[in-house]
Amino acid sequence: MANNNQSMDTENLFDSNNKLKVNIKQELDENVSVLNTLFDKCGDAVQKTFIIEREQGSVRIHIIYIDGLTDNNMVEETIIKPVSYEWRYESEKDLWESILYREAQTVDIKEEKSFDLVIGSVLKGDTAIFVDGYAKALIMSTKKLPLRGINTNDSEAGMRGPRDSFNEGFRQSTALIRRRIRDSKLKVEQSFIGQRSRTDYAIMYLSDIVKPGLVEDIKERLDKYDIDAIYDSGMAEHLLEETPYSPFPIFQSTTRPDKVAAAITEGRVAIVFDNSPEVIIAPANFNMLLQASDDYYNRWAAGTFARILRYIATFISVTLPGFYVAVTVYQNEIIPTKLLYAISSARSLVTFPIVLEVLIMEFLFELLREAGIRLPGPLGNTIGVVGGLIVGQSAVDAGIVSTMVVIVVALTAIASFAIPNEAFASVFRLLKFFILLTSACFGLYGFILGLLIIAIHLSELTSFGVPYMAPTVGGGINGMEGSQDFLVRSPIKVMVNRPMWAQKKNKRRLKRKEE
Amino acid sequence: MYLDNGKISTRQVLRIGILENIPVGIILVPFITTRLAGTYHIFALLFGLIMFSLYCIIIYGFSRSFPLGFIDTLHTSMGTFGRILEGIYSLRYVIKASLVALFFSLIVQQYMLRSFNLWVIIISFVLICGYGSARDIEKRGRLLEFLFWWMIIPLIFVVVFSITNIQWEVFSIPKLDVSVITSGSLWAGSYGVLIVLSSVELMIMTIYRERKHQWKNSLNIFIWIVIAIVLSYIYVVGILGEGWVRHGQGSALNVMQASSFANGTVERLDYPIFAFWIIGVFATASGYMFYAKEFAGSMFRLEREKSYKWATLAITLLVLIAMILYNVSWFRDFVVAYILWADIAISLIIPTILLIVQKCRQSSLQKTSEHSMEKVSAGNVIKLFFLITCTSLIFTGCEGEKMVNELVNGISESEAIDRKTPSLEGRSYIIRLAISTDHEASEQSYGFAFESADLSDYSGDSGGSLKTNTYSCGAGSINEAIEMFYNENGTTPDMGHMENLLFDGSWQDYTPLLEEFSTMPNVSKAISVIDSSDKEYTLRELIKNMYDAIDA
Repeated sequence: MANNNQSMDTENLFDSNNKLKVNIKQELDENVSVLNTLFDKCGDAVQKTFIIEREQGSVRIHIIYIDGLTDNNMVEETIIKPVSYEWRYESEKDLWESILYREAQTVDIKEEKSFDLVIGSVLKGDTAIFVDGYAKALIMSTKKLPLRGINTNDSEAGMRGPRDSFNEGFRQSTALIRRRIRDSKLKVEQSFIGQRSRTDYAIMYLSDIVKPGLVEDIKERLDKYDIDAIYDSGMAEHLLEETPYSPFPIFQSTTRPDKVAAAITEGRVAIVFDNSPEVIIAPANFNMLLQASDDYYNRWAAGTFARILRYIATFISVTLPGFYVAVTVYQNEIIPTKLLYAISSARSLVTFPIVLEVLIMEFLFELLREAGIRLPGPLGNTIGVVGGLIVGQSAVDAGIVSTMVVIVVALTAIASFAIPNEAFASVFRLLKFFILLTSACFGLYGFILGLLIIAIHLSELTSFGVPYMAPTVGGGINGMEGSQDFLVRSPIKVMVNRPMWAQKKNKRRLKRKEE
Repeated sequence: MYLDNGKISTRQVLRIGILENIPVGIILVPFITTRLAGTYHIFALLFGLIMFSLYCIIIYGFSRSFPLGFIDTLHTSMGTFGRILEGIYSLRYVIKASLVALFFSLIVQQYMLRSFNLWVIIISFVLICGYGSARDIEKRGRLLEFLFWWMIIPLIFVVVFSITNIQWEVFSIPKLDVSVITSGSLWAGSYGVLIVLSSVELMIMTIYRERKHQWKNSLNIFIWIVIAIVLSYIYVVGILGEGWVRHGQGSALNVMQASSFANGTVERLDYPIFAFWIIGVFATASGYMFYAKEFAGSMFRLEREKSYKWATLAITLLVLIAMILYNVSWFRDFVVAYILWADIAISLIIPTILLIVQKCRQSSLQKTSEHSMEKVSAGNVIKLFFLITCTSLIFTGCEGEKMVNELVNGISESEAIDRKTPSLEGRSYIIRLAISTDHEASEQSYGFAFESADLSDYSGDSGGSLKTNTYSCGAGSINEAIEMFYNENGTTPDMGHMENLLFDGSWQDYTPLLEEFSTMPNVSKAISVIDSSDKEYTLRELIKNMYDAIDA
């Protein structure tokens, strides 16, 4: 019965948007009562009322924080000790002013009048201090979140360039970016999203370079939805998209701080989410998603070569199985005669038709990939080797697939791994099946129709107004003709202007000092 | 934030102009000129391009006169009558889209998917075109800008890799006397060129982002089209010869076979090139459907977003209905008559009416200076002069009736071959085919000896010691022989990798078979043919000689 009343009380404290609708009262007991109700059965909430002696007499203060998220020592050293002992009889007339400006031994302290925001801060690892007689609370930043350190970047490794990587720590991520752009014009607009998760996010941009309207557009889109929780930037990305059914990502996501810093200095906007090691960047296009940081650190020729290779790899990863089916089933005249004889002869023991053969092998490969991801590191590698060598060879020996199909599927897989962005690579792995299907139905005609459908879709996509296929498309629009950073990565000295998404008046990014 | 104003860039206009106007023309112009003008094909091309130039000038003039775009001007200037005209335009483009789709589907069936029902190809193509046209002009601009090089690069391959096959003597200029000039065939050929290239009228709808580049850009589009048409004409007629080209609408595709990489890296380049040509035809057909949708949306005063969805669906259905109606004789006759007699005229008359209405309104609304009135009048006179010149040419349209009839009849006459596509291992790869005259059996019977590769223990490193099987039979045609081979061996003879053709006698004895070979896209026209005197030819040369001999 008592429990039911408690739960009813708790419900009465919140509005329909899960926001606390009560205000901080002057009476400490009332505030403590609300806190007790809110944190009932919350074993990690630590709270205590202190009686401190002042010239005016005894004053009660109440301190609350969450164990595990908070640096207990800091709470002791910067607030409890000074308030209880060091300033015991030396407070000014106004107790509040005294605690805030003289006694608290920290810079990161602020007052807050909204109960909802106070509780939000406490749940993030801050400490709240309620003082009897004041209808407000002090919020002191005492976060000490359970985080891993800055690790080497595994998912976007490169041969040259910095090795550090974002982690789940929100502040660490923004700091890694700030470390690279030491400019006061780098703005970090913070807010939170998610009724339950209250996930912090920061919109980071250079105020004098970003195109007017872009930041507002992003904020507007983020404010449009009420969602229970955001656990990763990927979820927020899906909320921000205009075309949720498109397989293509319209944000660039990365774990590399140098990539984010470069994007911001180009006039793009980065959004950092708490608990997510992936920072998302907008606007993004097809070309950007095939760029790697190494391209800029290596010499231009090597960078260009790698980039062209990636484009070819992308094309192969989508088209090779479909093309193989089209030319072997329908238009085998294309294949050199000896190769055709070899394929035909290799297939003499295979039971299944070519299309099914390719599908089986592709399915097997996807299965191995999925299994490899889910298993712990060394075991995952073993699965790859076992799958690739033993299962593949056995499938050939058993007459399930032919050797040529194993080569085709393996080449397709290798090509898909050359795409630097995993979200992007997975799209191509998916589209490969689509092209395979159209090619199986109509041969080369179907192959081209499949590509056409993809091309039509790609050409209608935009990322915050920027055509997805820029600079291939959109020539002549708002100076979009610049393609110095497209297939050919021009020498750094040549890339004097920022891309089209930067403000027109601040286009120049490189000039000689005497100019 | 960056783009959303219904206008497109200069580069996009250029690429749309090229992609919408070249693909059908490069295949049909050589066929039309040789078919209708015979030996005077070169003059037909010349006069056709002159007519086309005049037509382009008028279209350019119109597009300058409607800076807000033709559709919006029609929409705002002419009330209910404007709606009727919008409906006419919409239906015109539906018919033209259906004709392009039909022409394309017939060629795809003949060249790539012989065992497929024509309707499967038509429906798949029209649906894709519908999907491609269901966008606004900016997205369409981006799409064609993106697809541009997909089609152009393969065509450059053809130009580069097959230049050595051109026989320049084909272009000897015949004497042009009065009787030829006064005969209808020369003008019919020229007019045919204009009809095929009349898709350039779509440029009237374009709204430029920067109008200062309009003249230069229009000139660029014109130059691109003329160069492409002239090059295709030189390559097609120069490589295949006048006789062969005149034989069928798709014969020009055989030119693509003349291009190949050195050392046989890719055995036949024609299929990939042809596949990419599909993109060009898609641009043309979807262009017609796009503007049909825009006119329909404007006619029913639909909001843009709605117009993209519902009007596109309606236009796609209408195109498919038009395809079905080609099986009905009265509709076929109507389309033939319309295309030959009325289409070009309508494309000029309606904008002229709109122009006159616009000028009348302008002069009644604001008193213009005498000078500017004179200027307008002079411009109109020039335009009307070209208008009369071009519309008068439609009287030669009747000459091409049979040709257009052949196209629209194709839908009812096309047949898929009965046998399904055999599997790779269910084929016998023919290396050599020896043919002899077998007049003992019958006057029109031949002896066929198929030498096929025996792959039962093929290891790939056998070098020249590939085992072969031989099958012999007597038949009246190659297809009959193939059928007998299949019935006897249970495998389909695949002649796509044939190396030699051996004739027991001179090639003239095998005229019907050469004619049959010319319609078999899987047989490479570059294979060598050796006759009884050990003289070696390419199959292409012999087919060309055969058609020339028939003409002679």
